[in-house]
Amino acid sequence: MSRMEAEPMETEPELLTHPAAAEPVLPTAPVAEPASPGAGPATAPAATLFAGITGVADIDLVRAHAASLAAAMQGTHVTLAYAGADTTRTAITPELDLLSYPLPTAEATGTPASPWAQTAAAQAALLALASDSSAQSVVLLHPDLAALEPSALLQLTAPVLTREADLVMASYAQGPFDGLLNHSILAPLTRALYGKHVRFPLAPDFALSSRMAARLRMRAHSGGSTGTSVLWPTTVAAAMDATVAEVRLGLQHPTPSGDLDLATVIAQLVGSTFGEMELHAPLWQRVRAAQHSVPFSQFAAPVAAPLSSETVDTAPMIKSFVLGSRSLQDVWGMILPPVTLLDLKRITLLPAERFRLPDELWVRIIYDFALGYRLRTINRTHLLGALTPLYLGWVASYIQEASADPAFQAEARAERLARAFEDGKPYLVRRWRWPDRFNP
Amino acid sequence: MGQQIAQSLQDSVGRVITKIVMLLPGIVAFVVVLLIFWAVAAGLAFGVRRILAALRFDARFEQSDNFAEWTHSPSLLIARVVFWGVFLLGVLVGISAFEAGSSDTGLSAYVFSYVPRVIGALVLLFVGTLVARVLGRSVLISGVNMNLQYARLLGTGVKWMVLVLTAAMVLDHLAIGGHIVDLAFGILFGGIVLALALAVGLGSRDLVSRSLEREVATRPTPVPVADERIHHF
Repeated sequence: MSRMEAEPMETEPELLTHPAAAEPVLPTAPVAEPASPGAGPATAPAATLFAGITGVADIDLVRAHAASLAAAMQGTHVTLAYAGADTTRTAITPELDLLSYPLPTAEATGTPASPWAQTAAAQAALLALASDSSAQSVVLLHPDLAALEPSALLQLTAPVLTREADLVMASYAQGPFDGLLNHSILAPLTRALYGKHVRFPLAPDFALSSRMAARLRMRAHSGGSTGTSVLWPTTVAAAMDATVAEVRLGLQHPTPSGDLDLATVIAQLVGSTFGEMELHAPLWQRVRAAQHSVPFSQFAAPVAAPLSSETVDTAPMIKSFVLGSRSLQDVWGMILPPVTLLDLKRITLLPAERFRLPDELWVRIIYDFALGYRLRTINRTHLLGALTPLYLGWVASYIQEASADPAFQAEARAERLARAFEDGKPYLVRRWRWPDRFNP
Repeated sequence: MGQQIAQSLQDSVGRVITKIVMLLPGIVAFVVVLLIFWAVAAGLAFGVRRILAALRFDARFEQSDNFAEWTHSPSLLIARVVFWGVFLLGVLVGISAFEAGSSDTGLSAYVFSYVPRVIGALVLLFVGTLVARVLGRSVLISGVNMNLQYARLLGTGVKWMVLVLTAAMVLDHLAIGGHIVDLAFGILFGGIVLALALAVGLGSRDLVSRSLEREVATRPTPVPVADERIHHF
């Protein structure tokens, strides 16, 4: 039995955040002397780490990374799992095993295909393998292997190996116009609901303690039955009152592109968030965001790409928003209260250069959609489809605001939106508990 | 002459009165049966609602997304179905009683043979209305998300197409209108297909060919991609 299981970790309400990438934090867990070549049987490492790559990666690159990883993670037994034809374990050194596993497809798990569902399917398979390996710590990584660099991996795993945290989420360097769906809905909503200040709740790189990995595995196993095809580690951590840390990695993964349809992705990701809300309703109604959230400003400055000097054309997005407002009044009317509809109507009448969607209104819209999802006011697919023009309206407003302000700070703007979500939470709780009450 | 007219009037009045007197027991029996079945239907509907409420039927039903379009609670709907089912049974029994109490024959046989058609038509109407609403809304939302300016028109069009088709199927099932319904539909759909064929073949061939070329060359963009520098995911 690991120390973690014998002595349950005392959970802290606040979130731990490790400073920037300049100073990688090395694990301070008991470390065994590294085995020298030809020195006979090696000493058993004190810690075991299971690192899983959640997608297809170049095997030569994996081997190259594995070699440098073994050198960097001395005293820790590392099992590096990558997608292969079948499940085969190969011992490279006494402290490093390579494990190939068959990559499951999202369709095989009965969920609609998308990069996120595909990743979740791979994560579930890796968590099962990690459980079989009895690893003390688990880290799941994006298949582009950027986070497999020793410095990044050490940062990511250090809080788990030192037992400071149960979950360590990665945070990335992004431009102000990157990951807008995350910044507008997923991150602030997760923070307001569960009191966990995590900027990337769907980060593809995260490290877990063994008990957190076991809970996440259970969640992945029951995900299909609850209609959720995406894994939300932060939500699971909040449900088990685990300590969550966030490390800022100075890297950026390629943006999912190709044939992705925005409406479909919104339906999948936002629908999954709403599904989690429904599942954890007793939990988040108890959470008071102000008690848990720690602003990022007291830690190292975030890594973010600079704002481009060229203006972005928001006209197509505003057009889409206005078209939605003109055509979807009946649908929106079933989800949104009259005062919100009136506000939206007013916004459509604004000239394009003054087009703004206030944070308070945006927060109310998201909360009302979450309630509509819960009450099944209309078919859920329709409900989530009707959110797309509103989201494009928010994006247009955000871009115009950023373009108009030369001193625009994406981080400060995200913080303001997150605060608005927290401030609006009583409205959500009230409507969630008494949906039939008069709401003008 | 006058006597003959008076006699003839007396005879006809007598025949009508005799007819009414003969029908009266049947009418009374019909009304009594209807009242009894109305009371039984109301009692059964009330009982069904109480039982379903005790079983928390509505809460269980809400788990399913397929019935999100329903504006009433499922238990209320079932109770209404029970009520009207029993009441319609009462109407049939009443017609039978009416027939037994009068000299007319064959009425109940005709009505009874028509009942399955009515039930089938009701089912068609229910399913058709539901499909029309869901399909119309799906097309509307997809159209808006594809940035089609005529999305509302498209959604309404699809909804009414399905509703009209449902109405035609219901009328056909009830054997009302006979061949007129078939003919009207044949003309309508044939007309649409012919118009499209003519549009492709003659008037709009350039426009259609350009449109087809565009379709082949580029995949439709479901949402407006404003700028390469914006990343939603």
